[in-house]
Amino acid sequence: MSQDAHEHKQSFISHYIFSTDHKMIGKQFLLLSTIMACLGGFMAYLIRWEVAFPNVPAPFFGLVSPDKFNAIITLHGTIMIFFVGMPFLSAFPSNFFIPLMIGARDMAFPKLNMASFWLTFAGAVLLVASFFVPGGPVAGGWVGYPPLSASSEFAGVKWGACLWLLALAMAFFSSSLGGLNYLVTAITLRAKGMTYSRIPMTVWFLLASAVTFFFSVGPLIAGDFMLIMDNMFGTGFFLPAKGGEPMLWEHLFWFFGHPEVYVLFFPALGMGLDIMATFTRKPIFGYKLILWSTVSAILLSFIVWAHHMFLSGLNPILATPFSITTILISIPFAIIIFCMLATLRHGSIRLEVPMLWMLGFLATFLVGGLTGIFLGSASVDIYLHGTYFVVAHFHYTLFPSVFFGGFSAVYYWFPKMYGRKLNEKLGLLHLALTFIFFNGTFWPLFRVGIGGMIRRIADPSFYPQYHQFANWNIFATICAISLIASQSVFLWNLVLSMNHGPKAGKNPYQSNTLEWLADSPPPHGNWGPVLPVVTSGPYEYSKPGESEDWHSQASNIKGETVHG
Amino acid sequence: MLDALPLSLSSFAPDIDNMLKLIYYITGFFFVVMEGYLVFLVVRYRQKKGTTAKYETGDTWVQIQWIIVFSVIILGIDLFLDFRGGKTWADVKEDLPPCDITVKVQAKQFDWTFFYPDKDGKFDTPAAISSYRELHVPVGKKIHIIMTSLDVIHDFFLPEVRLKQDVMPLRLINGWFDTNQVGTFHLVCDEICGFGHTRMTGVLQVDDQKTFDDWLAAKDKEEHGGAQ
Repeated sequence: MSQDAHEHKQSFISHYIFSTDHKMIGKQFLLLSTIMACLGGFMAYLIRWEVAFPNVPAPFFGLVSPDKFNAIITLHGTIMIFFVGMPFLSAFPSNFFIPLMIGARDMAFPKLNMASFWLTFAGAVLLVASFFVPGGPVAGGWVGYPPLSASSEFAGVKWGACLWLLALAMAFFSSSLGGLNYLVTAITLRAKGMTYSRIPMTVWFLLASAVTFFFSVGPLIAGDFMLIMDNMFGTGFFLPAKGGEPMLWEHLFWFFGHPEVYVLFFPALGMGLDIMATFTRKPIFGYKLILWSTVSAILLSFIVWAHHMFLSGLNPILATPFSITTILISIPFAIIIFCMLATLRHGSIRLEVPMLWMLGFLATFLVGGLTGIFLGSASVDIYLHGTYFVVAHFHYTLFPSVFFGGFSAVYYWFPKMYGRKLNEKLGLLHLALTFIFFNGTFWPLFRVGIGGMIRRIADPSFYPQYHQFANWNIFATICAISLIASQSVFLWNLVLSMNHGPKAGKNPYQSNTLEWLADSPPPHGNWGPVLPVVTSGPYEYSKPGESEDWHSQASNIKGETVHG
Repeated sequence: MLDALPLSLSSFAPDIDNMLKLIYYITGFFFVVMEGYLVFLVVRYRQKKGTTAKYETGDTWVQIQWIIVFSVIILGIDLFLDFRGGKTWADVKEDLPPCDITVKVQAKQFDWTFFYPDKDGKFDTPAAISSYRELHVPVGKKIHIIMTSLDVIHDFFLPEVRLKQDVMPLRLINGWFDTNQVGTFHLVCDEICGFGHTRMTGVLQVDDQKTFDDWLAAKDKEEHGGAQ
């Protein structure tokens, strides 16, 4: 964070590879998650192909045999959660925007930040390497329930399981180190005048995400290493034949697993709120109410995990209390959604591309939230657990968060990151295709799930009772392939606009938060010689008695005048 | 959507279905109202010339009182669903009613075996009767099942009965169900259990008492030569 940081010359390696600049690290996470999303998306295609056209070789791959199918569903889940969702929604925006939005020059621990990226990268390499080891990759489902995942005796996979567990450990360490860094940065490096009640929602929710992750992952890191030892040294922590307990893993996994959903949801929500304020030209309705609701949601998220285990052999008496905490979590989220609707009300809504993506996030996530009530109700879960209803439900929570939320952020902040605007027509096309094909993929699966079709079966043709759903599955698969193909519009837009997009200027949306005072893209050190001094809250839009409908958080730096 | 539900075979299946339908209608109502309101707001308050946004921060109790009211209503619906569903859960999973016969369910990679007790009601004796992949039960009777796995976690799922239970290795887990019509129904394994998971299916064969007794006697003869 040296004052003259923006002056010194950097070599290619220190600038692009082993960079300690928070913005470059943010972009590295973005690039890594994009590459991994291509891999995870290809696996989604193989899964859907096999479900719709069982035993027909998939184009560009070949036959998805049962052992391959099991491996592909496992790695699709792991890749999408830990190597797409986490870097894309947590690491990328946290790195890029927290320092800019609180008026800092970099992270508190830039080298730790670099380590965080390279740990995730190492994890991704280990995961990809597991395709090429004897026995192939792990194939026990992304939840990795032992004994199947604990011993090659049951799954025939040893090295694949170990590499998968090590990859998870890397991802856990990376996100923990990153989260610690974001938290320390936001507490210690805020610009003068950036009080806690002036912090933008993006920063608050990225911190909420980091804290939730930090407090839930610890037990699972222990579990992860116990499972590695079961595999490598035959310890038997989770093997009943050796005195171990498989349900211990389920507890450790879901104690982390449920909060993890919010770890991915919170950043989308926080960034969505900032986008909403900018494009409605209104303050966020209920800033403090939203934050306190979030605190209660975080606390509740730590006492709901057993709803994933209603049918696991858990003492059935525990189902009712966990059912109650689970359904209670609807209240803080309902409050947040009401506040968002109230923010739209009486607004002057500019329907630009980032705002439309954000509305798409809200409209689709609502379905995920509401369908959670079916599964949180223990009696209905007896029937729906393990069916395609669950698959549809969690894709309606995770896909809107990661992709609708993530894309809204990329479209919104792209001008800040690259100094140019993304093409609007391509952005609208990308949104329309994604929205239609996402719903086309997962809406039919609710029906298939209510019909009792179970997930994770490699060959539905073996089940005569599911033949009635064949057309629904084919429809969902066609939509899924179209959904994946539609993302090429986005990649094309990225490449095109990065080089040829219209120049954006510092503050293309007349937005209040501090990052819009920096150059686009911001130089190393972000602010030039003078740090911003914050004099007002982030959402002073359309304040009566002011000539403009916006009011920058800092007045000592002029928005559009100084350049380079 | 709800017409996809398979037929309901047990006495508790309608309770589970009714709970599912209740939640379907409640969440369906909220879905329509909230999506509709969202679209309305976006259309009604889109940017127009000459209008400006209203400066509302939602910081005072007066401004947020409607949110509090809605939250209390949601809390009421939540608790209603919890307690209504709680009773069904207790009937299926917590309270084991007196049953007419007991069957031991044994899962292993990748098949099911069912054990019927010998004439003294004992399992694990040479006289006990076993059935591979076919669970035969008499119609209308309450069946007590004791589930266990020899290797990994499996899941015992009878979709028509609306009964599902993870089967844990080296543990005995109790369950029960009954049936209301004769016929052949499905049994699937609903927990990924390895390479052959997809093929780990079975059959629930519901017969009238006489057919069931005949089957059991024939099985006995087949396995023990009718020596008893």
